[in-house]
Amino acid sequence: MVIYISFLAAAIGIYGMIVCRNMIRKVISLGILETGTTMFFVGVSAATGLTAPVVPGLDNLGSSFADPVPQALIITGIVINFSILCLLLVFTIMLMNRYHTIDVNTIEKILEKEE
Amino acid sequence: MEVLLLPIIPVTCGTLAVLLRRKRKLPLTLFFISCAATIVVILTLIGQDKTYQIGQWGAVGVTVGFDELNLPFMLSSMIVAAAVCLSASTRAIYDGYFYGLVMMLLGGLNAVYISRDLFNIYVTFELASIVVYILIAYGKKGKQIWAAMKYALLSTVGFSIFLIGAGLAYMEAGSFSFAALDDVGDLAGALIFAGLAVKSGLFFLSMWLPDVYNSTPAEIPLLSGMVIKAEDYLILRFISYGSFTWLAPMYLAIGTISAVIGAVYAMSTQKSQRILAYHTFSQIGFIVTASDIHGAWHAFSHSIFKGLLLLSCGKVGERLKTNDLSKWKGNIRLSEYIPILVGSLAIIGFPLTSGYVTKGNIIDNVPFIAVVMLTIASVATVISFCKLVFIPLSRRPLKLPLQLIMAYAILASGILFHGVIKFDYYKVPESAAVIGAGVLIYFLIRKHFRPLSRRFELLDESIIMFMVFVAVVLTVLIL
Repeated sequence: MVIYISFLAAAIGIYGMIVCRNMIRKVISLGILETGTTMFFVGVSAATGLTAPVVPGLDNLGSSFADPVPQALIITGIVINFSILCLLLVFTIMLMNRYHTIDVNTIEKILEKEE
Repeated sequence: MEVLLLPIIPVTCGTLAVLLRRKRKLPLTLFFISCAATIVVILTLIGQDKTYQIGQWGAVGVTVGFDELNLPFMLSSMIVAAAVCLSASTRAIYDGYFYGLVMMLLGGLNAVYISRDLFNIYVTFELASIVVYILIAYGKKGKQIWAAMKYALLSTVGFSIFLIGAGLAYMEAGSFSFAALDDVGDLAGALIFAGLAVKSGLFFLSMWLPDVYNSTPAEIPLLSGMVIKAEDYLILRFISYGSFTWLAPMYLAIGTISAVIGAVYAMSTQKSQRILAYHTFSQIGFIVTASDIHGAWHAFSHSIFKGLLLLSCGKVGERLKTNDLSKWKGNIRLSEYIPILVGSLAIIGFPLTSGYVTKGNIIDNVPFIAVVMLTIASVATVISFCKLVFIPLSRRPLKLPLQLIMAYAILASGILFHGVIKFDYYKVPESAAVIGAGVLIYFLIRKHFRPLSRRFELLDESIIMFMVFVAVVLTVLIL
């Protein structure tokens, strides 16, 4: 179930990236796509069980644990995605200061004229 | 475990260079120290085919390795980075921070080359990519920031799809290691391949490339070219695994299409940096069509001759303040023309240059239909580079800075050394026929070149085309 919802989130993100002309919205759509990917990894972890893979005193040995490896790795993915989103927002601010617009089509037209 | 030194040395030197950026010559010295140390490590590894496990974690642990496919890519990135740093040392805007970033990029790329598991590839590649986004926007001009933004948006979408593919591979095989790619279904392979394609430098997929080449200072496109090669390395590496073998006809199809369309676009334009950008699409098409060790060596020779062309044309463009070839006529000096000529001869496959050797090897090892398409692309390449080769020169002398001459010399010696030691007589008639046909057609049609539509290069269209490509790959998989 989580896996299907994550695919839906990724699809919404991609749709947003294609449809939105506003740069901030494009970046937010990219955020949704990345969140979808993160959620997919949560789904992959949950495929083996739902109990948290933390065992104080080994009480829960009978239950099936969530796979800790994808969870541990995707934390790195979250950090990378966060830093890229920040970088993109910085670029957006810099473009806004130069061209006084965040509309993608307008910026592309201005740049074509500059050339 | 000396393999681990390959990323550690440049990243450590890069961090030191950033910390000590105010010292005048120290960052550049650190760069050359890291290059020398890395080359020593590579020399000790040549001819070996090894993989190492870090720690006792079994299938979920980190695996690194080195084999013959790594060598051309590592060498080319080192040579190109050395040329970039020498050329950059002539400018005041590049401080220690710039050299630090270049070293981190080199370390990040070496980490991609030695990684043998999918998640490490993602992390190290994103590290290298973030450095490149910053380097592209380093001049802080509007065009450069836009080029970096477009590149970052497109490649992040690609890498999200790659990550889903990697997750599927883990679900099926219980491991992220490359070895698991033999045991997983075709869907994981399809998503990994489609995700990687956005940065590979193929036409219709990497349409951020002309903007990056056209808007940044002469040194930066060479660095983004290094990242493209890392992507191509992964495409070449993955084809040998079970879940990718069904993609071989697709490699052939998109490789040949990109080779021909890239060259046709290059033929139609009059802007020097655009010609070079479209030719990157074309040459990457050659590499992807071959998808073997010959493709890897073509990636090596392409890095070097394209580096020489980008640097020399970029410097002329900066001096004359235009990339328009019609305004270069009669204004270009002999000292600027020589590196352009050497690079152009290599890209058209003139005997005794590296392009002749590697293009010849590719054409000898691909199916007949690909030979036809690649020959058409080669003729179109000759036609478009005739614009640079037959450009009228100015008689006034121009003295170039010593560092720039050294940068040109490093790249040109790479081209000629590779071309001379691997020279083979039997392909000379073939090469002469292609070059002769190209020159003849150029003189017949040179008045009729008109720029083609650049609609594909707009951001939204680029994303749509990439999504169409993903849909095509998935449809082929289902059928």
